[in-house]
Amino acid sequence: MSAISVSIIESGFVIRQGLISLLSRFHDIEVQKVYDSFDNIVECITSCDTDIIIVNASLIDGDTLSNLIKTDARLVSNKLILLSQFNPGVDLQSAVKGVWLYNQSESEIIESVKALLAESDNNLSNNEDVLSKREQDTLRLIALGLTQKEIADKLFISTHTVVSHRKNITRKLGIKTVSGLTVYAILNNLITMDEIKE
Amino acid sequence: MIFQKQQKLADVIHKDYNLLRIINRFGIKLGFGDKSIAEVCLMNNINTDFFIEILNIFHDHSYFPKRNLKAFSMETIISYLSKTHSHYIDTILPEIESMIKLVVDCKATDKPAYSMIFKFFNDYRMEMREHVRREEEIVFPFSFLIEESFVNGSVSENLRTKLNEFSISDYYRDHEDIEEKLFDLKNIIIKYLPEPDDNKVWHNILNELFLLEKDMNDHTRMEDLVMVPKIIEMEKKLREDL
Repeated sequence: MSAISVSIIESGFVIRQGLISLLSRFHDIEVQKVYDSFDNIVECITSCDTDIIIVNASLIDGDTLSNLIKTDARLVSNKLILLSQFNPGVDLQSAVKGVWLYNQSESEIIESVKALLAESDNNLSNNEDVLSKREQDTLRLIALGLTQKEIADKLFISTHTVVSHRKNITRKLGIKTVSGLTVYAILNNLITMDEIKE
Repeated sequence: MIFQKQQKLADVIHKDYNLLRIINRFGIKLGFGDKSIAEVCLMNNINTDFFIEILNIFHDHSYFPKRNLKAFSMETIISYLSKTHSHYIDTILPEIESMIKLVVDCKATDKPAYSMIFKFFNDYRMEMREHVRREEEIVFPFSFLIEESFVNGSVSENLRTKLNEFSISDYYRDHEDIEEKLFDLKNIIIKYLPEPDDNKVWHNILNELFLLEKDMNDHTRMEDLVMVPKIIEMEKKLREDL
């Protein structure tokens, strides 16, 4: 699974393609959405569920940006990277997550990307890919074809928790469909063939 | 690199042998000597401009000239999509099936587990078939009808009834589950295969699955970004005049 997802807002083809090719060098980065044009940039930024949004500074006028900083300071400082031809003022620099300049060298930009990745690594918990006991129980019942509600009742947990277990299982195993999880459960002796047939 | 029509087809294949799939799909046989792409297309009665775009899309995933593609007629687009479908259903999937069947049959231990993988693949295959059938029987004829009415500037009684029952927007996105199954199958083979004793065959199977996935990505893009939007535009205009 990717550590961070990035969206790009850039109207110029050459720069857009350059960004995509730069980011695709890092396997922990997924380029989620790429916009070449849109009507409402603010809405696009605030509704975007990606970790990082790279936007060309020339696409947002100064007022819109300062308004955005006022209303959504956290979002701007956590997510927004400005791509710019010139160095923006100090205020702006400190308000956003980062500024990438057109004339920066390959190694400078690569360092910035690595810094982003290092940060997100710290946020990840360890023991990433091992299923917990509870997740294994949930997986067993999913594989047997029980509904969320039935699983919740059987394990004395809420359906909400079942859903969250299911998400973690999929993330850890890299298997998305129920029938795929069933095959996994059989290959790993969590359930037997006979149990399925019943 | 973007291929041009005056280039020799043989050179193109040397640059990217995966394009053999494409030329096969267009019915081009090997042995085309030093002929250019344009010449080969002429001989085989193929729309050169369309063929070039498909070669380039398939060769370079970042190349996707939406506007050029939408300019082609529905017939050109759909006939290609249809050929791709039959390539999946009649050739690629049966080939993968026989490979998996071979390893499962030869397996002495863990047989039930391996049969599960085979069953999983077969479910996937059935789902693909059903999906393709739906497109061929409902979506494609509807698209032709829309284009025809659009060009003639009149809505037939037949289309009028259809427009009341169906809109191309209903059709979006049942690709997702099929894509997920293929993803799962690959991951199960890569990560969770218990004691495989025939590594080489599994490598071949994986190879085919990855190729199929890439192929289907290009196919889906063609449907979702070219065919469907093109129909939506025409359908919208036709509905205004109803």
